[in-house]
Amino acid sequence: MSDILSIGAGATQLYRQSLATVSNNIANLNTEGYSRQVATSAEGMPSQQGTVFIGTGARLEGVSRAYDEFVETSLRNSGSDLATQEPLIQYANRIVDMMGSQTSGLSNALDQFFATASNLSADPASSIQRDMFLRDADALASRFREISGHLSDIQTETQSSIELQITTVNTLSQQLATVNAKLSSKLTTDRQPPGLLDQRDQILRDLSDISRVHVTESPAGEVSVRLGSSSGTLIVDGKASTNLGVSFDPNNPGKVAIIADPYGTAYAASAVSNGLLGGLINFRNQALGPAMNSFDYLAQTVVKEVNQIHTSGLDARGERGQALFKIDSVFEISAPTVLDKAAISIEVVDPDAFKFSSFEMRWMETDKVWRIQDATTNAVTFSALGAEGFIHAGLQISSVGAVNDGDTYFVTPSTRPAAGFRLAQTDPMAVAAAERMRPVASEANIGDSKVSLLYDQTPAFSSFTSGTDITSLGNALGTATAVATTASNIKPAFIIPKGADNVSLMMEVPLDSNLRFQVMTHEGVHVLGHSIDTATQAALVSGDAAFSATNSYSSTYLNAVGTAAYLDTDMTYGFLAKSIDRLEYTPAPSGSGMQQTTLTVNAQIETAPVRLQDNATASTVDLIAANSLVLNDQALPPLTLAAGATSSAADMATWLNASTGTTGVTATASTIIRAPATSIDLTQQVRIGGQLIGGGSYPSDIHALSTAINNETSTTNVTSYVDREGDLIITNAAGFEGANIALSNPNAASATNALGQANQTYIGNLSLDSADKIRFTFGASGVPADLAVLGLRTGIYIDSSKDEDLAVFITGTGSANVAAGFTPPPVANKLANEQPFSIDFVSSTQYTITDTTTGTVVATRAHIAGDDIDYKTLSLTFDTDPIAGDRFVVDGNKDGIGNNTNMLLLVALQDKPVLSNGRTIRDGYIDIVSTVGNKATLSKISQEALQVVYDQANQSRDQVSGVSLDEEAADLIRFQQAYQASAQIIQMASKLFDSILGIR
Amino acid sequence: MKISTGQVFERAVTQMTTQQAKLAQMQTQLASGKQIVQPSDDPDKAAIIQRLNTAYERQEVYETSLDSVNNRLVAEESALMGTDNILQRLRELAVRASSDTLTAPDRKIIAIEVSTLKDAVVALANTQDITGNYVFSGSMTKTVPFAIDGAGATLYKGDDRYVEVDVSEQLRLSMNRPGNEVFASVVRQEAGVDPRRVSFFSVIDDFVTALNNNQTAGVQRSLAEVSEMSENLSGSLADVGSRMLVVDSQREMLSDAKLRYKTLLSGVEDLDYAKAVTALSAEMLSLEAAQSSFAKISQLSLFNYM
Repeated sequence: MSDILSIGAGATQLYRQSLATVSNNIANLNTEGYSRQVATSAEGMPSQQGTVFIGTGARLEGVSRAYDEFVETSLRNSGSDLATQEPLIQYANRIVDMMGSQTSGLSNALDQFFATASNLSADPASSIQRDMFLRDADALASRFREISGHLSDIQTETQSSIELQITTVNTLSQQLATVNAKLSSKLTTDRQPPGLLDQRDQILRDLSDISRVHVTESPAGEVSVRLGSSSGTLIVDGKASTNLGVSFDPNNPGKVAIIADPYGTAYAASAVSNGLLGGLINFRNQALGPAMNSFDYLAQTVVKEVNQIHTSGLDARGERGQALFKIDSVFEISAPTVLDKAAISIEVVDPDAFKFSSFEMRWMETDKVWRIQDATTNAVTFSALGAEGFIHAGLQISSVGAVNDGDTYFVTPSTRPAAGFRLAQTDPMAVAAAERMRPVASEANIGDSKVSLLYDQTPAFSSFTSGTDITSLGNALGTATAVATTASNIKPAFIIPKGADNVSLMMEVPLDSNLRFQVMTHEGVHVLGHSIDTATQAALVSGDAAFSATNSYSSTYLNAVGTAAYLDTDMTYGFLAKSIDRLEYTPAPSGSGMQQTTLTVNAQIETAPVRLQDNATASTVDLIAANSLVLNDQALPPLTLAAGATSSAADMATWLNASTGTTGVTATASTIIRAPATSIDLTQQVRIGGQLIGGGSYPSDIHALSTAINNETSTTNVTSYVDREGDLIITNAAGFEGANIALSNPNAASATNALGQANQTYIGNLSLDSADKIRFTFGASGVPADLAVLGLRTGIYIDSSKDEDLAVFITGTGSANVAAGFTPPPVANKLANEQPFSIDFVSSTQYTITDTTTGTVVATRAHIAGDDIDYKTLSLTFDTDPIAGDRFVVDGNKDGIGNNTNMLLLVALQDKPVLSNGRTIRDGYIDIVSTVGNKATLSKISQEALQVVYDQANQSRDQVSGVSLDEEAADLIRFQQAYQASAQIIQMASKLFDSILGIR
Repeated sequence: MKISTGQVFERAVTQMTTQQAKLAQMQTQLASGKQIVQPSDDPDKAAIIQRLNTAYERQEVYETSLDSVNNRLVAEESALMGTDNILQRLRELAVRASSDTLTAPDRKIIAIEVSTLKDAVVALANTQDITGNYVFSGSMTKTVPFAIDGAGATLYKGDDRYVEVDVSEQLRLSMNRPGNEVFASVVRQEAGVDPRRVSFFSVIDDFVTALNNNQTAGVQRSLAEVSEMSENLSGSLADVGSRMLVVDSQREMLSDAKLRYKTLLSGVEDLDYAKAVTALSAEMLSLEAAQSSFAKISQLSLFNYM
C-alpha cells in the first residue's frame, strides 16, 4: 500500500512539475530568445518482489530545453548575411539621392555653367554676361564643395556607426564571458539552467547580427567565439573576452582596421565582412571610397581643363587670362622633433599631379636637398638643390627660416580636392573670352587670301641637334674652367639657350690662328661674327637639322648695334668691359640722415701678357694689320714692329694711347716678374738685360739680392722689392713701364737663374681704363688672333637671348679654349605671350617674317603654294595662295573684345572626352552616381534572397524551440488529467488503508 | 510542421507592413505623377532622365544664341538695305554726272548731294545693335568701325575677324560680317601705276573731288567703281539674307528637337496612370485580404474551448 501511495505521491508531484513547466512556456510566449522547455519523466527503479518486478512509478528526470545546435548556427549565419546588406543599401541610396537629384546634384550646375558660357560667347563684350558667367562659375564651385561635404558627412556618420558597433561587440562579448563564467560551475549542458543557456544564445544572435562569428561549444555549454570565420580572432574564450578597437584612415575611407586589445598589446584583428559592421565597412570600401576618389578626380580634371583653356586666352583688358578655378587645400604641417621650426608654406600649382596623400620631408645637409617620403607608398624622392623651395607632386613647397640636418616635417593634406574647389577670379573683366593672337590680312593686299591661326603647335624646329649647351659649361669665366673645343665650319659648337641673360662666351686662341666665332639664329640670321662668303654661308647652315633648307641667309643684322640690332638686343663680338654705376650712401649735407649718390666706377681691365714677337726681317711688319681692330667705334691704326725690334707692352700702350682722344681708353703697361721665395736659387747668378747682378758675388739672402738688383737700376731700368709674402718682385723702373725684361744666367749650362725663373725675355701686360666702356670689335680684316696680340681673349657678349636658341660656331682650323658666364634661363614661363609679327610676301614663293615690336626681319623663307607657315608655336593656314605684296599681321588681339574664340573652346569642353577613360565631364559624373546606384540595386537583390533564407532558418528554429499556444493548451489538459488521475491513486490507496484499518 | 504562436503573428505583421510600404510608395508616385520619386528608386532610369534633361537644356541654350545672332542680323540687314539704296542713288548721280550736257556748276551741285549721301553711309556703317556693339567692326565691337582722320579720309578701324556662335551641336554660325568686307575696297588699275586697293569711302571721296574739279575721266572711273561697290554690297545682302534663313530653319529644328526630348523624357519619367491605378487597386485588395484573414485566424485558439 505504501508503494501505491508513494507512486501516487510521486506521480502528482511529477505532473505538478510538468504543469509548472507548461505554464512557464505559456508565460514566456513573447520572451525573446526563449526556448521551449519540456519536462521529461523517467520510470522509477522497479522493486523486486520474489521473481516479479513491480514498478515504482515515475519521477521527473529533468527539464530539457528544445534546442538544435545546427539550426541555431544556421540562423545566426543567415542573420549575419542579411544584416550585411542593409547599411550598403541605406547609405548608397542616400548618396544616389543626393548626387542624382536635380537640385543638389552636379548636373544642373554644370549645365548652367556651360549655358552662361554659351551666352557669353554670343556677346563677349557685355559686362552683364561676364558677371553672370562668374556667378554661375561660382555656383559650380560651391556645388562641388557641397557634394564633397555631403560625402564627408556620410564618411563621418559611418565612422561613428562603426565605432558604435564595435562598442556593442565589446559589451556583448563581456556579457558572454560573464555567462560563460556562470556556466562553468556545472559539467554538462543538461544540468545547466535553461534560462542561462537562452541568454547565451540570445547574446550570440545579437553578436552575429553585428558580425559573423564562429562559435565552438564545450560540453558544459561554454562557448568560445571567433570573429568572422573559424580562423578569425578569438574574442571570447571562456571567462576572458578580448576588446576590439577600430582605426580609420582619413584619406582612404575604405581602409578600416580592426584592432584587438587596443589598449594592451594591440594586434590586428581579422577582417570583418559580414553583419552590420561588415556591411558598413563594405559600403565604405566599395561605394564611398571609390565615389569620393572619382569625384575628386573629376574636380581636379575640371579645374585643369578649364584653366588650360582660360589661361591661353585674353581677358577684356587684353592681358593673358589667369586661372579661373583653383583648389584650396589645407595642409597640416607638424614637426614634433624640430626645435626651431622654419615656416613652411605649401601651394597647389599643378592640380593634375597633386596626389592627396601625406608625406614627410627631411633636410639633408650634406647633399643640400630635401628627402621626401610619401606616407602611403613609402616612395622616396629627393628635391632639387636648395632649402628655399621645391616642387613635389604638383605642390610648390617653400620654407623660410633656418633648416638643420635631419629636421623632419610631416605634411598631411586635410581637405579633399573637391572640398577646396573655388573660383579664383572675381573681376568680370578678367574673364578670358578672346583668343591670344589675331591674324589680319592687310587692307592694302591686292590678293584676297584669308589666314587662320592654330596655337600651341609643336615647333617644327625647336632646338639645334649639335652643340653643347653653355649652361653645362659651368658658370665661370676664368681660363681655368675653359673647355677645349675644336673648330667646325658645319656644326655649331655651342648653343645659347633661350631665356639666358648676360651671356659672355670667351675664347682663347693660339697665336696666328684663323679661328673665329659666328653666331646665328636657326632661321639663318647671322647676328655676330665676320662677313662670310656664299660658300661658307651654305656650309654653316648645312650641318644641323635646325637650319631649314627653305630659309635664306641674312647678314642684315651682323654686328649691328642699338635699334638696328637683331631684336634690339645688346650684343658685342670682340671684347667688352663696361663701367659700373654704384650707389653710395654718404652723410647728407644738411647733417641729418644719409643721401644716396651714384658713383661711377671706370671700366678697368688687366690683360694677359701681350704677344712677344721678334721682327727678324729687314722691313717693318704689322703685328696688327690695318682695318683689324675697332675700339669704341674708332678704327685703330695698324700696330707695327720695326725691323729687328721686339714687341713690348710699352710700345702697345703707347700705340693705344695715341687714340685716347677719340676712344676714351687709356692704357698703361707694366712688366712684372714674380720670383717666389722658395724658388730663389742663391747659388746661381742672374743677368738682367745683359747686366750681371751682384758684380760676381752671390747675395746672401733675398733682401741682399733685391738690393743688388736695385744697384743696377740705372743700367737695367729694372727695380725690385720683396713683397709681403716674401716673394721677390722684379718690375720696370719709373719711366720704363712696360719694357721687356730679359733674364739670363752667366752660367750657360743652367736653364734658370738666381731668381729661379727661366732664362728668357719677359713681356708685360696692359692695363686699360675708360670712364664709359672698353669695347673692341673687329674691322673688315680683324680676327680673334689680333686681340690675342694685346693679351685679350675674344668674347661674345649677349644681353638676352630672348625667345630663341642661338647657335655659336667656331670656324677655322684648330681648337680654342672656351669659358662661359651667364644668368641661367628661368624655369619656363608657360604664360608668356607670343610676340606680334608680320608676314610679307616678297613674291609668291618667298616671304619674310618681321618682329613688329623691334622691326627686325627674323626670317626669310621660301614658300611653296598651299603650305602652312609655321613660326614658333603658331601655324598659319591660308585659304587661297597669297601673291606678291600681300602682308599679314599677327598681333596680340588688343581691342578685340568681341572675339569669343576662347569662350567657344570653353563651351566645347562639355563634349570633350577629358577623363582618363574617355568620358566627358557630365558622363563621368553620371557614371559615379550610377556605379553607386548599381551597388545599391545589387545589394537589394541580395537582400531579398537572403531574407528568404533567413526566414526559413527562423522558421526552422521556431519549429524546434518555439512555443505554440495550442500545443501548450493540449499539454495543459493532458497533465491536468494525469494529475487528477494521480490524485485518484492517492485516494484509492487511502481507501485501501481504511479497509485494512476497518478490520476488528 | 509546427508553427509557434510568435511566428504566426510575426509573419502576418511582416507581410502587412511590406504591403503598406508598397502602397505608400504607389501613393507617392500617383501624387507626384512621376515613376521615380527618388533617384535611388531606379538609378539607371535616373541617369537617363538626367541625360535627357541636359540635352533639352542645351536646345534652349542654342535658342538663346539664335536670338542673339538674329538681333545682329536684323541690325546688319537694315544697315545694308539703307546702304544699298544710297549706292543706287549714287550710281544714278554718277550716270547723270558723266553726261556731256552737264556743266561744272551742275556737277558741283551733284557733289554736295554725294557728300551728304556719304555721311549717311558712314552713319549706317557705324550702326550698333541693341546690345551696344558695333555691327561692322569685326571682333572689335566697342570700337567705331569707320572714323575720319585728320586728313579727312575715312579709315577702317576694325578688324576682319568673324565672330561665330554655336547654334547646334554641329552648326556654328557667324554673327557678323567685317566692315572691310561689306564696305569692300576695290582694285584700281591705272596706267603706268601698279594696281592698288582703294577703300570704299575713298572711292566716294574721289567721286566728290572729280565732281568738284569737273574731271570727266574721274567721274567715269567713279561710275565704274560705284557699280562694283554696289555689286559687292548685293553680295553682302545676300549673305545676310541667307544667314537669316539659316537662323529660321535652325529655330524650327530646335523646337522639333525640344519636342522630341520632352516626349522621351515624359516616356521615361512620367507615370502611366492607368497602370499605376490598377496596381494600386490590386495591392489594396491583397492588403485587405491579409488583414481580414489575419483577424480571423488569430482568433482561433484551443483556450477558447477550455
